[in-house]
Amino acid sequence: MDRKYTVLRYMAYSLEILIFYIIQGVPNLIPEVFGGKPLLLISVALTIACFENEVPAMAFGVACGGMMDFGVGTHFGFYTIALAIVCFFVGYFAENYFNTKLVITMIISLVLIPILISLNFVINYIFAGYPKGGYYFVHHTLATMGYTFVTVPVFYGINRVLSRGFNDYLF
Amino acid sequence: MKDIFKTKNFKILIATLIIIIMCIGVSSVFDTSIISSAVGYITTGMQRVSATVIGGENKKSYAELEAENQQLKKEVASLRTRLADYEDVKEENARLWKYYELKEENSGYDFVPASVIRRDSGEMFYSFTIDRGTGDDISVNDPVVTENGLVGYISEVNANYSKVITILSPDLSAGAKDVKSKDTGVITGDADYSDKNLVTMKKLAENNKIKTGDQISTTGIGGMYPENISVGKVKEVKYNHFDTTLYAVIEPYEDIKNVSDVVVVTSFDGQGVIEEGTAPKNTED
Repeated sequence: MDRKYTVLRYMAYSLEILIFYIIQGVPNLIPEVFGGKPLLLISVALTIACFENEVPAMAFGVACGGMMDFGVGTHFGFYTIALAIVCFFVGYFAENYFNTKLVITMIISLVLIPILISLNFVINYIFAGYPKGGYYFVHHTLATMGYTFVTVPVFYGINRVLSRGFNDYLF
Repeated sequence: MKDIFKTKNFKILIATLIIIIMCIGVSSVFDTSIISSAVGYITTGMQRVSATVIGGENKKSYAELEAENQQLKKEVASLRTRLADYEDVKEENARLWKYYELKEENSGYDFVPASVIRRDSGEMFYSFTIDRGTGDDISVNDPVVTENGLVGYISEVNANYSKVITILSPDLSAGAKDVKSKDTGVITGDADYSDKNLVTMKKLAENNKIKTGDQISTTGIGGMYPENISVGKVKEVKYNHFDTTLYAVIEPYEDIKNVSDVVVVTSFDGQGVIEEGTAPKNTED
């Protein structure tokens, strides 16, 4: 029985990733704020990781990262690798060291979102040889970090329902 | 905490990372990705539907539209006066032509109209995805235009979608000229200006005669872009203190950040042959 509903939960996560991948790319749907737009799939991956143990967390991290890398057409799959590692450890800590709550999820996101987006900026902007990195970082990357961070509570709510809904409410 | 590195799950993480890195390596070496193509095939249809539902135009208030209308009326009146002085009628057409007019005047061009279906939040310099691919004879490096002028070039093609690098990106370099003064330079994106929907024209001669308001169009040199495709008008001419050169800031006629319908020029008179793998960046300067 449990196995059946675990599969259902994973399917729901997969559908969520697909939907927000599409939403993230719809032209003119999400307004640009201070030159940045949210990277929704980072929030999705981190919040799923907070509710799952390490291996499923990593798997959904790979899915989100892969979609993000595919979305921008990069051969180097920075987000695929980074979210695989990050989500694995978030899942591990969530399983063993804390009970997932909004505040803890926000703190994790506050630390990890800037690290992930900054590393991506260094690899895909600075190392790629684009000029005026400082300007771009201040006028685009910082806004993207903030914008992504404020979406975390939304995905926390969605994934809490998906996770606990299947586990507690339905059965 | 130390135990995690000895667990079976940690070995799964390492195995996963190795597989990802191998996939990336294979994808980079052979310049292809079966997974990307498969994902693209699945998501392009949904992306097309969602883009259509949302619509490509920006929602503006009545007051904004009225103000814009007034500004456009003034600009049209000003341009009408100036058009009378233009020596070359083709330059006038280059700024005003519409898709079908362009086709009539340029029988040597082959066009594929396309819609913008995706603008990913992670994209730099406002690159986007269109709903046409190799099935429509689109190839890498094909120019992308609208009735208002140059938009960018095709950077990646798959069966049913393509990715476009815009003129707001430093990845694009196109030979350009001032229609009036005939001064030449290279159009390219710049991080300082891309978010304001502006591009720069670099490599200008010290004694250039470029003035604010001049029309800029492509030279066609290099065979990457057709000749006389409008780019925009000169907003200002500036001096770069770091490399002691002059450059012009160009305001494209097209709103690159919000464009929703484009045309891919699949072939044109004077098109150069670009061997695959020889042009990592789209340059013709």
